[in-house]
Amino acid sequence: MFRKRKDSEGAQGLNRIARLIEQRQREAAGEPDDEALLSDDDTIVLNRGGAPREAVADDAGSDVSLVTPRERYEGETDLAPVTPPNVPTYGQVHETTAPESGPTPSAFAQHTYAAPAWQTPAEPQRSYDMPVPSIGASTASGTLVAADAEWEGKLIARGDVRVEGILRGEVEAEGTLIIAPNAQVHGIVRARDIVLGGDVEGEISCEHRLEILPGGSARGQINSGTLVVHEGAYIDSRFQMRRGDTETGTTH
Amino acid sequence: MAGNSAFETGDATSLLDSNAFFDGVLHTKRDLRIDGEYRGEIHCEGQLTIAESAQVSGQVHASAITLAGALDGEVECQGKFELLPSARASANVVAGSVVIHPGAQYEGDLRMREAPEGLSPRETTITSLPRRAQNNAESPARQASER
Repeated sequence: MFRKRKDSEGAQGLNRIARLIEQRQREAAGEPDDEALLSDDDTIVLNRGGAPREAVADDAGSDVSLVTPRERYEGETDLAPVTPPNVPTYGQVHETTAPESGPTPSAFAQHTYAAPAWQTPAEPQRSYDMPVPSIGASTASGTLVAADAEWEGKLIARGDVRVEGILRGEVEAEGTLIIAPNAQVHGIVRARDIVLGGDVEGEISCEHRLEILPGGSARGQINSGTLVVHEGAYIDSRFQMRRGDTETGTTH
Repeated sequence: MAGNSAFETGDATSLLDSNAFFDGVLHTKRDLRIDGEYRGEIHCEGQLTIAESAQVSGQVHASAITLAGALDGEVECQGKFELLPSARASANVVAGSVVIHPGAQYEGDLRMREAPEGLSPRETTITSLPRRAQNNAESPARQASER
């Protein structure tokens, strides 16, 4: 039973048992341990900080001289390769504090390093915050095609549209479409109300009321609920009034 | 005459409001502000402002651009191209200068119109990104048009 279990554990278990047996035999014979063998008579142990603990040298006695530890310079620290626990942050200047006595591990924890000169910014604590420009709140007041602007395409708006420039294509507004003098609209126009002071060429479809001001011109097909035409307007159109409206078209 | 006062705006800034949708080509010699949904080309010789509620996709040419909304496409900006913290841009940009505020989202190819002295510009041409899938169900303005 016992043997079987060891077999199952493999060669590792057997090696361990062999090592244990060898150690027992060495202890019984009074031989020292392996580690004790290392510090034999020809080993020189020097301690820099304190008094030499052991200096037994048979052959090299003339070469090795024993000096008392020299005086510690002010600010000198032991040159032990220790990674500073607190890495100084970039650009932060710390004053190097010289420990009075030899640094203990706790003193290393408090030790700080001066940032090199090239790391220190010329103007410390300079702020790079950028002012964020304000563009104002979103508008729902109406779409504007300004003068000197030319829009070509399809424009759909749920509110009002005012055209002071040039608009080609298709425009659809659920509110009022205002076409200013000197403005031009070419294409299909659909809106609830239209105030026309400029020039429209194309198909005009107006659910509620179309008003053509003096100087305004409409060319093409007009389909409107109510039509108001002021004197001085130019019209070259085919009208169609929508039936079922209580209001009737009037001409001044 | 009634209604004439409504014309005397003198407003130089073209505006696409937040409830509007435009698909096409736009040329303007002055400023332009977009609050709504825009698809197509923009040629603006003034300041182009794309507000937070705006969605713009297509080609944009402007003297200066301030972006607070969403922009997808190709951008050529003569002067300053500024992305505010709320900006979402997926665009290939050639700009005179660029300001990106913290919080802005940007992906794409970005290069300056003029390389600084001593640096030669990259020898690559800007290739267009694959366009995003366009979701037609999102826009209320377009739903209105289909009715």
